[in-house]
Amino acid sequence: MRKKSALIILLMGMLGLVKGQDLDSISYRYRASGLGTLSQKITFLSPIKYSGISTNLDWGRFNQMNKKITTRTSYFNITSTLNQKDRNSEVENPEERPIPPTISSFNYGKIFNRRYELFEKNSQKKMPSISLGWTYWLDAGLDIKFFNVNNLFYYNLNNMAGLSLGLEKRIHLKKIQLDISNEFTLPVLGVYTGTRYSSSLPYSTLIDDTNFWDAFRVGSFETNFQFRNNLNFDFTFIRKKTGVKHTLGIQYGINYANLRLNNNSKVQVNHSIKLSYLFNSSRYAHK
Amino acid sequence: MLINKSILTSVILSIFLATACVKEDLSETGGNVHENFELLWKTINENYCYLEYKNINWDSIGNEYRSQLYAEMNEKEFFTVCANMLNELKDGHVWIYSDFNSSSYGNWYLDYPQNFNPTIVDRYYLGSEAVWVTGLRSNKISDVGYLRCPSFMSTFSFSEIDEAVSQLGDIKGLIIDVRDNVGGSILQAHKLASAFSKIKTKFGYIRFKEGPGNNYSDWFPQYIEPQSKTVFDGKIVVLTNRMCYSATNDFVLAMRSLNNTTIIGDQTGGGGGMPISSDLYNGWQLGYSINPLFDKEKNHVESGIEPDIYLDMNKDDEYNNIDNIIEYAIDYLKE
Repeated sequence: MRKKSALIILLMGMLGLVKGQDLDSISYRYRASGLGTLSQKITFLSPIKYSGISTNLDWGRFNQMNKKITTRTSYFNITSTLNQKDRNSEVENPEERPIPPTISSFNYGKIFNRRYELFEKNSQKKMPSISLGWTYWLDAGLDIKFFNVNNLFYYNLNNMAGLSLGLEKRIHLKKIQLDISNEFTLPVLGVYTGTRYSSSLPYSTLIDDTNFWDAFRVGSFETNFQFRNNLNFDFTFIRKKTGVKHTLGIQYGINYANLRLNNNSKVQVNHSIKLSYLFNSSRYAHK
Repeated sequence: MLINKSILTSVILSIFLATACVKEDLSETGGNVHENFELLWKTINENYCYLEYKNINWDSIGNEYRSQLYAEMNEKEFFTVCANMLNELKDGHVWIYSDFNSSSYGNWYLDYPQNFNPTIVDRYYLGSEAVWVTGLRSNKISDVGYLRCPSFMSTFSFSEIDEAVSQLGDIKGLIIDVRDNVGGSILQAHKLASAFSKIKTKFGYIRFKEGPGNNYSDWFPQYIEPQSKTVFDGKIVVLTNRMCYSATNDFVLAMRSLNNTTIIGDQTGGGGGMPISSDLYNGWQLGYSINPLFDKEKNHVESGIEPDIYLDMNKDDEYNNIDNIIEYAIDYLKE
């Protein structure tokens, strides 16, 4: 954890390098969808690690005015995971086998990033553009293990604030312009609510004499560590027939969460490959 | 294509950061009998809520059954060891099941007389004239209402409870027969009890486990509350036997708190711990009690609730298609 703290302090120190400079404004919206893998261990539902396939959908917008970058991202993931070591699948009569235990997960989130480019563009031609700033991240998860009794589902709702780091570099190929960018989001502090140790819902929904706010906990990345990283390869080309510029992208994303709420633990790792399309772009080529 | 070193460095760094915290999990490494046994033992050791109340030495039990393991044992032999170890908890809310077998402790009712004959009730007390509303059946017998609730698995509303009782017309008392009802939804049990309460009545407490070991929440009182209209506010008898378990045990606990209610029959089977599910590496499913329920005096109700009047079924009456417990309740209400 000391290393992480040192890294954050270093990054925050770099904020001081931000200097004003006039640039063209850039804005675009995008949609990305794809498949991935998810492995997870949610102790409230099962002490076993479950893994499977995820479908991922991202959408959002990017705005840059001078050195100020604002990104808004929404995402929605649906996942079905199995206990891969379930020996019951080896039974002699598979047609008699009951439905294997499955954890279905639904994740929805919104991320607002505000970053500032750190270095002068002209003096750092070989360097990628680096931007650093803050983030607000709302992450909601619902995980359902069918056929469980009284612990049918686990939920978490995380309101987090933290750091956002962006890297971007443009490369000109023959007829295609390639923009490689990476966005890393790291919450530092948050207000969390999640399933109790022995009850899916907060006590306030079950019992009269309890306080709704008891369900919320304040935590930091020391106890609830979560990040999201998206590596984007955006290819911009001009269609000969129409002369219209198009930007298609490939995104490799990682969502990692290690939540420790109410003595439950939820570890979730989602790797995904998504195809994206940028639209409503404004002066994107001027960057 | 020229991609300079700094981009490569930043990409590699970000991927490293993104994956550095992913740990190997035990479940990836196997699932042999020892690992599964240890997971089973640990799950109960950390979460089962009645180890202290039942004075169970789980360490000793673990050692005893651990010594029965051997590397070459087949799944069925291993299942038997696990099931036998869980049976030491003497709890019907503890179960284990696989594709080839399932096991749960059943001596909470098997060791006692049945005190209920569903054929006699169906044919001679309910018959074809009975009102049948969702999961509830009712009939008027000698000016007394008889309401049969065989399960709390089915979902019924207050208005349906009202229908099942009001269609009986004027009655001198009401028998609620929950014998052989092994439970279901605790919310349904509370709903049925609330239909007969005139004021908000505290009938017990619940504590929630908040972490491994002896880590429990405060005592949360449990209430039944009157609805817009009390379904029936005359004398009530609740009939019980040893197969009244789990949510039905809670229903009896709630009804016992009402001044106009008498419990007649045998002690209930218990099942005062709210169970949750888990599983083992090999895919076997597991269940165990985690949140204990208590009566108004904060005593456990895991071992069952004693009736106000003990009464067993008479074999001779049963032979003659008479349920002497219902007959006694009718006379009791007519007094």
